[in-house]
Amino acid sequence: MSKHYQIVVVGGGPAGLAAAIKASQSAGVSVLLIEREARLGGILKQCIHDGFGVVRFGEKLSGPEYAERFIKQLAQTGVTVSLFSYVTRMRRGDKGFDITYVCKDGVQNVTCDKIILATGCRERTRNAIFINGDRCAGVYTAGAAQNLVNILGVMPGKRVVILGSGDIGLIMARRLTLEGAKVIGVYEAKPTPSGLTRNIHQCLHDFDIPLHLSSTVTRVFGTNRLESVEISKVDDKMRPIEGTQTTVECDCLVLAVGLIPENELARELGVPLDNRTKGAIVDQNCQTLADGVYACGNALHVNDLVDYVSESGETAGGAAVAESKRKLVPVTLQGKLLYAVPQRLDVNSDLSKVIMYFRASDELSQQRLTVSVGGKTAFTKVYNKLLPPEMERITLDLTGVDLTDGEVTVKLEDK
Amino acid sequence: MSIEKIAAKVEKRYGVRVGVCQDDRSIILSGECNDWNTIVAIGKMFADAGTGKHVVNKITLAGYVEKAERLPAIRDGALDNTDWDVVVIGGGISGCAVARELSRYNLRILLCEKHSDVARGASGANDGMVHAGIDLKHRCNKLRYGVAGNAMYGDICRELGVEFNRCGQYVIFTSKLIKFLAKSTVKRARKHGIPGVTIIGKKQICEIEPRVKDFAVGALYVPSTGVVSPYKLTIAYAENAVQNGVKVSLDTAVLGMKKDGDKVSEVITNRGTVTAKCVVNCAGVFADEIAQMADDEYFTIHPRKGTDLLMDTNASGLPTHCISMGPTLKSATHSSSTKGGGIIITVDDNVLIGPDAIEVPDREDTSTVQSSIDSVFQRQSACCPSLRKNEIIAYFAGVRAPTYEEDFIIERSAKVPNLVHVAGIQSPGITAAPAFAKDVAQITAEYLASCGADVQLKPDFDPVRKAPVCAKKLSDADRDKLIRSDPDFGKIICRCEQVSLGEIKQAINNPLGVHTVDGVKRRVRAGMGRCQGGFCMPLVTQTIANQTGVEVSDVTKDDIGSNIAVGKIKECNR
Ligand SMILES: Cc1cc2nc3c(=O)[nH]c(=O)nc-3n(C[C@H](O)[C@H](O)[C@H](O)COP(=O)(O)OP(=O)(O)OC[C@H]3O[C@@H](n4cnc5c(N)ncnc54)[C@H](O)[C@@H]3O)c2cc1C
Ligand SMILES: Cc1cc2nc3c(=O)[nH]c(=O)nc-3n(C[C@H](O)[C@H](O)[C@H](O)COP(=O)(O)OP(=O)(O)OC[C@H]3O[C@@H](n4cnc5c(N)ncnc54)[C@H](O)[C@@H]3O)c2cc1C
Repeated sequence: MSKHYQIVVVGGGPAGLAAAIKASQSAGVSVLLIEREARLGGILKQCIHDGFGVVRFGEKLSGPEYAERFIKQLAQTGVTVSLFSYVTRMRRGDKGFDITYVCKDGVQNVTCDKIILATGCRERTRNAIFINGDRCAGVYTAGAAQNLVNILGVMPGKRVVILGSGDIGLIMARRLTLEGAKVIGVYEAKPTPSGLTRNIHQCLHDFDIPLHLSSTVTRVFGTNRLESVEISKVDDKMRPIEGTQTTVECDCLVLAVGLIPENELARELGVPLDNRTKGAIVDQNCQTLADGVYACGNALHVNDLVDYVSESGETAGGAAVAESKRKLVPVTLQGKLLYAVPQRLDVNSDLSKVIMYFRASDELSQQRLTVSVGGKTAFTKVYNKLLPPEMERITLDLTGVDLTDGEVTVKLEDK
Repeated sequence: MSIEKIAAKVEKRYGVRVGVCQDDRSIILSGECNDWNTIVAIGKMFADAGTGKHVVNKITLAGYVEKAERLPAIRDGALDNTDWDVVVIGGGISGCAVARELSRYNLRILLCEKHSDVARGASGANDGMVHAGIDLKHRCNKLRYGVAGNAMYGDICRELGVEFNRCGQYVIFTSKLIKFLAKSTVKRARKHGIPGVTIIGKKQICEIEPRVKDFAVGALYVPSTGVVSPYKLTIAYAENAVQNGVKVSLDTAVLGMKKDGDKVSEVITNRGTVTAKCVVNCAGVFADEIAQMADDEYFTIHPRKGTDLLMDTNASGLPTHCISMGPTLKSATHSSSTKGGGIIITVDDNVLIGPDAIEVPDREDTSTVQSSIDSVFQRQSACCPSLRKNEIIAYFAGVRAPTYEEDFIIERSAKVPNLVHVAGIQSPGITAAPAFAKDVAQITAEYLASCGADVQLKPDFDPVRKAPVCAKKLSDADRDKLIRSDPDFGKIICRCEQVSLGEIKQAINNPLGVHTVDGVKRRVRAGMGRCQGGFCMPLVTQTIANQTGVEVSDVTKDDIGSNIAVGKIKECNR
């Protein structure tokens, strides 16, 4: 007989930790947390820089410190943790869901009522952005380079080019410099940097690392190790401009070119995904369109602050223990919005504290965001400046608003 | 046409003066030209002239400085003064299959491969299609060995523990006339001994592969086409050879030969000079240079690059069968040198599309270029328009090794009696290898016997190589049992391809002694999924270090010098 849990959380990063802790706080709820790696903490394990937890704890913690607070708290709960455990199959069964995973003890089968997916995200690779050329060593994603430096204690290169000016690229530029590498430059295809202004200063300016905008790496050269890269200027559609190529000698190229929510298991469960976020479509409780399946953290959409990752984990963990019959209404986007989460609202559950995250699609100033229901304004806020890399968060109180036949729209427009 | 007339024609057409001379085996061309494609076209004009001779094309490309050959960054005497019955040069499918077939005999065999692993040349970068041979010309080695090799695939893959899927192939017709003309293909296939080729109607093909319904009028069904992992088969051949006593020396390049009269007596490598009674040249794109080392140059290899693309297994709109576009009215009247290519479902259930065929002067140019990726995608996705370019997860290029006569050369040299050439092994080389390797082994054994050696079949030859464990393909019950016997098989390291620590350790402890990150990747697929090693590469690197007792920073991606890291942190001087 397989063991039964009310809730199974997949993924032991900050999202999964928060979800498991929250769920276990309801009396008598049995929770299993499945983590593929040997230790809890997810990607935070290798993020040894500070800047985590400013919103939640009012402190600048390192990644491992932030994770440690949750791991300690988890130890006080009755949550069962299974490490080095890899989910191989998930389907609906007689008792909710049947889950099969492998771990050092063999192939395990459990059943559960609800599933919370907190599987994080993966990095886009060299191939995804069509960097052509030789197949030499020395071309790594930021996560892999970070692992080499922070976990294995080795240097991925001595003369480094970084592609991508998001926070991850910037932080790696500083990290590699501190460890003794020469970072020749950070290259960014967009005309504006993608990372926080704070990080541009602290990671680049303070170390005299040049930032090259509207440029990208188009080719790599090298027989055994990387020897040089070809840099091209790009036009406003980010296409390389012929004739602008220059060659930069380096032995390492770090790619910080974006994250993609990891949704293998969601696919297996038939969870519909949002093309904009690449994560599941969810309601305000992080429940996906597949009843009983919840998604949170970076698996839902790529967050820039871990504080919000934990928040969505808590939302999922808190909601998954409750029983509900849902009635969903769609949220429609208008204007220059990259995405907004949640994409649905459940009319039958609490609407007094709906947390919504959104990103603008361009760098914009003097914008008004309006949430309206059936044409009536329910929330409005003015933003002086909006940047796509910076996720915005709002809290809506929609109690008393009749959502039953009115369309919910989120609109961004010039003030 | 006489060769003088061809030379005149070349001058008229291209404005290039070609020096021509000939001996009893070849036409030898010299001169200079400023366009590589023209040089290749000229070579072909002479090859096609019907003289029955090979072409040695020495026309040089103006201003082109040939890239130095990639040689192993090691020099020692590891092989010095060793004595061998047979030295096989090259660890592609040709060399590995030949070595394995030769290991049936009581011979001392050395295989030299210049890279840190086998299957690093064309055998590691191709489509892995076991061709039926429907588009091959009459009476050539490619047809003879291709058809024979195809028929052997089921058995050889079973013996060597390699997956093989005889999935069949559908060539899609978009014109009724072409479909009608395909009757001659069916007839020819029958004559060539290719089994079961039939023409099927629109309704049938649309049921089998609905993605072609908007444009297909029918299809040619070729049931004997199959798919194999070409590098896994090459590795399996090499491992079975080692099992049967062959010495495989990696990081070992043949640099020259010494002769005694007509015969090769010594083979010079970067690991020492060895003596050999017989030499088998399986050097792929360098086969002509090896011939030259023995003063036996009578053919020229002109490198032909091909690019392949791999789609994400989750991509939308993937086809479920191997399909390719049949000729169109326009293309039917032009003959082209690619095998057409198409869409292939690999043994690992990936969708692979490609290749193209570009003549290149550099023999080792496996770099990818955007123009090839774009054109391969555009051309090959025609038979499955639902494919999306942003769902490509990987691409690679390989270099074919055709001669100007465009056929395999599989023979003992007429001039150097103890040198056997396995050259010009272009497509369908993977398909044909099991068949020609048997012949090459026989030619070699007979030659050695003719010199008075006592050549016998070994009674203890073991044809079976056990397939490595692939935990994810086991049933839950078997997988459970395996993990209980060794918990490492329950620890997943590569998340995308579900590869466990146990499988990675097994791959590191391989019979060839390959300890590289890419070596692990080729053996167990760690790093071949959609994250392309982003997550598991550091773990694989660390496992190699632990297993082999070296520092993490000494672990290489592939060849010597391709270290993953450049040193420890804080010890690096800018
Ligand atoms: C280089 C870098 C710098 C960053 N800097 C900052 C910063 O300064 N400040 C900040 O606030 N945030 C920062 N972040 C972002 C923050 O760390 C992430 O947003 C956060 O870690 C995401 O949490 P998560 O739980 O969703 O995913 P993850 O931390 O990725 O955790 C997911 C977990 O799920 C497990 N898992 C996945 N699939 C399965 C499966 N099938 N079975 C079992 N387990 C599975 C994984 O092993 C992993 O442990 C940074 C991130 C990076 C990479
Ligand atoms: C893009 C592409 C697609 C293809 N598709 C198919 C297909 O679908 N089906 C099919 O049947 N065939 C296909 N082929 C053809 C097939 O890949 C080749 O015919 C086959 O791999 C040739 O094997 P080989 O062992 O002769 O050469 P290689 O695999 O190139 O091996 C030669 C080896 O010799 C070594 N070497 C060279 N010089 C020296 C030296 N001096 N000292 C030591 N070692 C040396 C090299 O390092 C190399 O490892 C394709 C080829 C390409 C490029």
